[in-house]
Amino acid sequence: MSDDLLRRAADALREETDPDARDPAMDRALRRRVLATVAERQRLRARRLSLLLPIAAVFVASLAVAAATGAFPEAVDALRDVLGLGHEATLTPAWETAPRTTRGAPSAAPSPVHPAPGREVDPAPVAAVEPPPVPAPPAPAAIDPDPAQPLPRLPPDLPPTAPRATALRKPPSASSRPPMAPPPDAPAQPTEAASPTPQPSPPPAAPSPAPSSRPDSALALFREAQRLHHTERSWSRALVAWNAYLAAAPDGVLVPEARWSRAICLVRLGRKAEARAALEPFARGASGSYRQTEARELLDALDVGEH
Amino acid sequence: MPVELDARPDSLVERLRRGEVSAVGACYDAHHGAILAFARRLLGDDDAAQDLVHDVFVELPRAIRSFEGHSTLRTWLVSVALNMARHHVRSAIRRRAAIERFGREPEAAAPQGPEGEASRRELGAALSRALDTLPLDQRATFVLCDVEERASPEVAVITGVPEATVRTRLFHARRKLREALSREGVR
Repeated sequence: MSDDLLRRAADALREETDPDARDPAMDRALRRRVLATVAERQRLRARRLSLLLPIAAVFVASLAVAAATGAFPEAVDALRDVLGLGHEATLTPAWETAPRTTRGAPSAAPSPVHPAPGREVDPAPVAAVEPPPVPAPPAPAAIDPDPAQPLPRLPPDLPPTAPRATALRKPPSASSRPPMAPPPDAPAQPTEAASPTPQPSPPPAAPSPAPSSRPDSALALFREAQRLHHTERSWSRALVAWNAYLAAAPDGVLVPEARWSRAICLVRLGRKAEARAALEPFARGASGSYRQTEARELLDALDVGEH
Repeated sequence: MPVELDARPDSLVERLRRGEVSAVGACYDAHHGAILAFARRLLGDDDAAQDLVHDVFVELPRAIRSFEGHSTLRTWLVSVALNMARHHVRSAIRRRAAIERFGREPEAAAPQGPEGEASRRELGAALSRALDTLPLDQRATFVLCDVEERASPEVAVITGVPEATVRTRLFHARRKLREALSREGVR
């Protein structure tokens, strides 16, 4: 076998398939087929666009309206439900995980954001770290426990709102942080702590801000309270901040979460009577199943600690 | 060899990028002969070659986005055809194997001519069968270099490999083809 034969074979193949020797009718038929397919594809693409563009426009407009009216967290929540995404896997801010009871839906299974009750509430530590009864009201400095101390009766991941999201989100700088301005009639912390028989005090009614700025300012208050609660872990200041938010937005969508966080602050501060009063509505199911189990177990733990 | 990309709004490439159907038609008229010939040589099957040409020109409005003008439009079209040929090569080989299994040859496109012409057709058919024994990269390199007589730098552009690789593939392709033709008793 020589190269000559291979060369002759290649020449034969080249001449057999010479472009000039092709059938013009076949070329025309192939051309028609190609152009028809291209045109059909373009029609399909245009039809897809004509369907998808209005849907996208409606979606964007809905988001804009939701953001403008302050219903964005609910919209995100509803979208998550529609898409079948769990709340626990998201890194969204806690205010986006508004309690499901606001929509009357049952709460999801316990998640990292909402820790399992068995893991969350351990009666023994609660009793063990219960501060001894002291006759004199504690000084304000002692009211706000050092986060490094083992004082907290609850595991550090107890707080109800998304700690992962809070930790991942960069805390606002001092310059960009919205000013923390509790309402003038917000309860002062030393006064509350000094009260020998603290009454379950609902958040004080404060005069509502102007309607136009209310959602933004309330959200700023909520975020500030979250920061104090989860980042600084300053329970007394967080309590004041939660009270301020509840006063600013008494009918806000985040009120159940704020009330729950406020109750946690009271537990942390050792103000059992107020904590019990704050937890009881949750245990009764006033907010549906939101935090109901945890509230019951916390109440049991408080009782164990007392007896 | 890099060529200047014609960026005028009315150039064929720009019209293809805009997805104009008439531009696809113009491109087909200008280049389909070369692409069809390459497809027939690569696949050894007229039906599969037409399908490949159809696919190349149908995908053209989308594929043209990757055309950067480093080669001529025709060379680039050949490389697109080569990239899309894998599936068609397999189907052409299956079809040829089925025809051989049932002991009937495809009908000749032209009437039987003088003996020399018949011998040449048989030689071409034998080479097509021998090409079926090669992997696609060696098959394409042999078709581009020895059948289409393209220079190795252009083949390197089309196949997307260095020239040295082209030469290596060509060496192995020729050796295997000689062995295959020898097994068939072609002289």
